[in-house]
Amino acid sequence: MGSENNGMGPVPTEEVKSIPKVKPQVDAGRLSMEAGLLRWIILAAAVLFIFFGIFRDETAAVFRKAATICLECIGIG
Amino acid sequence: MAKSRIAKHKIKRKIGQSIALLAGNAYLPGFVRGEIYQGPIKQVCLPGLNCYSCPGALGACPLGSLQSSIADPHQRISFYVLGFLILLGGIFGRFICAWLCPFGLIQEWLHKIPSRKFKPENNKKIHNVLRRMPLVFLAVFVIALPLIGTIGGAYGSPWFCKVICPSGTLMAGWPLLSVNEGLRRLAGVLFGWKSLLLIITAFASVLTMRPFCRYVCPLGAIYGLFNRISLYRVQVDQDKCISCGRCTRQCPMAVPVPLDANGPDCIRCGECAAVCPTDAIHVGFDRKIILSSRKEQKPQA
Repeated sequence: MGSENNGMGPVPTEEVKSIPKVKPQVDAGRLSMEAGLLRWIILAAAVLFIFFGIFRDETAAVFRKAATICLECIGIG
Repeated sequence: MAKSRIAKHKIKRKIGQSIALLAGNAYLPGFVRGEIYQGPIKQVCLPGLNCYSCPGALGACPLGSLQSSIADPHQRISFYVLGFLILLGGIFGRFICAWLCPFGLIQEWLHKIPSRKFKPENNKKIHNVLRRMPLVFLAVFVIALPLIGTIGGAYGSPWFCKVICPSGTLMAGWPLLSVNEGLRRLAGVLFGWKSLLLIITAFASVLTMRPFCRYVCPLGAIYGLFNRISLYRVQVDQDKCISCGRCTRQCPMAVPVPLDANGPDCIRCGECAAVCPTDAIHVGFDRKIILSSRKEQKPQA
């Protein structure tokens, strides 16, 4: 029969055999310490960007564009 | 059992997508009057590709906002919009594409129409060229052309919105023009072109899964840049993986899950985890998994 599983029925042996075994190292979801650090730096920079943008009143520019009908978007302008 | 598990997961995702669609476009009077919402929430971007000129839209389109800031010679770059995109990408990656984007949901609905289905990924050469196109659209239509338009201090155009975006045509163009006679009189060749693109996109969506997301969408490309480091991610426990290949076959974006779990194409839909017979795949916020490879790296006692 097939392999053990989480109660969803056996995995057919022939199906398992037909798929070549993969080398499991490319990206299985692990992050190196450097990438983990980079992630937090990027997130911190994003938060700073948002606050800097709000400080520069960029929300008003977004509002001005979003609160009027965008003729380009609807295919007129 | 496996089928019921994947079916339950799909229903859960459809509910999430539908709530996001309705919550982001809840200004219903706009659809009747042919006008758009102009309240203060409009200064906040929505996460998905949701045209801000959709009569019901409560927020701004992040891609449209980014283009209009680049096309503005006095602004050039909007830290607010850029920070928003980086923050969402860094936390969720392309989770937004699968769970929150209204245009993704519409493509999935269209794909349910019974017809012969095509998998472009079966032709690796074509697929590998096409899957890089969202970055080309991002570089050319979202950044370069709007920027070139500002040469000499003039205002550029949001070129992606103007000549490509089928989401804008569907969510804003058609609803507004159907009830607003003034706008209808202004419609010309450009509207015809964009309508044609929308029809082609809709037709392609019937035949293949999410063609716009996979081969065009620059917003997905931006979020995809953060897939490898995002907090919300796919993790494969190599101890449990039996390499049966079910995850890869199930993946709507044709991601080879055990090999490239967090590649830029993965939209974190979670179907790989739902179909995995050994629960080897975890899709969610980062968690430590003891992997066989890590064990191998440990010195033997």
